Amino acid sequence: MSSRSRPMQPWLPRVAFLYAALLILLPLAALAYGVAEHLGGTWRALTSGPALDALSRTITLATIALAVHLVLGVMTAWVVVRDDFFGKRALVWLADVPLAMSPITIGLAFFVVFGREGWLYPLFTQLDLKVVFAFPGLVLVTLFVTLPFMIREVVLLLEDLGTSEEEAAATMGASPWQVFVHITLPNILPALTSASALVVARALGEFGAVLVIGGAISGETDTATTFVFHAIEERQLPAAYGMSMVLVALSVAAFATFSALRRKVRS
Amino acid sequence: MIRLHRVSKSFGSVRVVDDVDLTIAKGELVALLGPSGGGKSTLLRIIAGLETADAGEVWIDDVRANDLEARQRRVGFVFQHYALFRHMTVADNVEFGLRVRGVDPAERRRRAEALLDLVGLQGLGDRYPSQLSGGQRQRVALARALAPEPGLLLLDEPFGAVDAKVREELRVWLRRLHDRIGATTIFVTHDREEAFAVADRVVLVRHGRIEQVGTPVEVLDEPATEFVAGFLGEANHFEAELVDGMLQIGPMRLPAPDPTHAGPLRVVVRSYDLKIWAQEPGVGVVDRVIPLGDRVRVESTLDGGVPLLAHFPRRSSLLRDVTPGARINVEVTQLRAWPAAASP
Repeated sequence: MSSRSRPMQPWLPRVAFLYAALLILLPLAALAYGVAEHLGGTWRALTSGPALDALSRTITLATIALAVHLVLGVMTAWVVVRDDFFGKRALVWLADVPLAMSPITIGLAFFVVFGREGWLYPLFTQLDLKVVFAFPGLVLVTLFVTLPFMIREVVLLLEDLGTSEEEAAATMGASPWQVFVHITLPNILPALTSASALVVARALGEFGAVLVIGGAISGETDTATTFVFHAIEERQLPAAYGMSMVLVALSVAAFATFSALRRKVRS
Repeated sequence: MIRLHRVSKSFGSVRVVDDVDLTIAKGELVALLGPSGGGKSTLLRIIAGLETADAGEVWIDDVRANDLEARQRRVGFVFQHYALFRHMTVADNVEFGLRVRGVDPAERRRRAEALLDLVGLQGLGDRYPSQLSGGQRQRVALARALAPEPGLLLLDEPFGAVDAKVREELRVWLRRLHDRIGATTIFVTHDREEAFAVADRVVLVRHGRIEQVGTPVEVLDEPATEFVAGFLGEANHFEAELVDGMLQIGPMRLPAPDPTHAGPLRVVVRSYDLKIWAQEPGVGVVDRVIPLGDRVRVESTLDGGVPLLAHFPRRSSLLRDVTPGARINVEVTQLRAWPAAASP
């Protein structure tokens, strides 16, 4: 009947378990051990001004990324699946590019565009807008690295759903906006929740690109990940362990929240 | 009333609807019948406004519908795979068309209940589509399409996705429903029995063109083309020559409908428009005899290699000694012939 009833090599599950456990649980356990060992120091380090500042900046970035992609990402996915236009395939391909690029390369690329010698530097200077070594630069690279997650998930689901429910709604007199709100949106909600979890997790964890474009200036462009980096460099191990653990906890919380939402949407 | 005037539509280089003219009277129930991929569904979607014609005009009740969006056409559309809103209850599905038009909730609820009554699904309003059978889902889809009181009801292979027994029940039920509410109705099907069982008139569509329009009896008795003659029942298609005013088909010589025609002909003989019986020396040999319930199908080969198909009532006395290997004689009771070039 199902593959479950097929006899399996008894050692296969053990290999699978060992593989996952060693790679994932061991480092996490080490991190937790590090925190536990330096409990007092960790707490002091985490409640210091620079730590709270870096953490709140990271959370702000994740929130902005989520908000932007929920609107523009969904819109892009919608247009790509439901509309027919020249360059449509290229757009789908482009949306995947961030997955294939190393974050440090992304940071460098943005540097070339917005840096002191960059193409758009004169324009942005005129506008009195600082991008490199400033918060807007962090926002841009965070949007860049998280872009594929929303688009991919929503594109796949929209393709899977087909158009007949939307067409049915249209023949019953619904306007395009009513079709989107009453038919499409409820149908893609499950994809939105899982994509949101991925966007948030990716935004929280971004390091290379924010380091290059932001320069990790304390109080200005330092994020949770660059904070950990500096803490390691300066041998401030309690601070490094503590902030790392906070990042893990935030990601897990994001996944838990969004999968709870997903279950709620399903029922 | 629906009027299509010289409507054409292509997908890429394929012309799926080709210069179609068609008029359907108010209150009529019409079947678009033809093989899959013939353009029937596209034609229906053009009428609904779900596709745009490349050329031609669509008139619905004296309004040129080309310029109207699907939502402005007051058309009810029923999809082959139901297309029910999966996240809404049955009642919410039926109410949707009223909700987007701003009908107040109490009135909506009342009309949805009346419609669910009409389609025989009273009490199932709180279910979700996934909790219904295929036949029930299709009836929800119909109730939903009827809720905004459309002037025109379009059904795309409405019973294609339900099993054979339910399909027959739904046919009868659709016909009765139509007689009760009287909305102009067009449905697409590739099943000739379904078309004949339900429709006032049948439109035969092939390769994006209309081959013939008529009542079931008209298209059955007076097929306009070889395709129609063949599509409306299992039939033998022969190539024939006129020899001395007689049709020569392999070893058979038959009276010609038009003895003056010169050149090769295509001849269609329905499988029930011929008789065969066992006789030596005969003109052919029986290959297989297949019982099909109330009928028997006899497959034979005429001398010279032309295959011949015949259907008989199960208890026909002609069938005596008609067994595989038996020599047979053939009498054709009715045939139709077309010049070979006109209907390839």
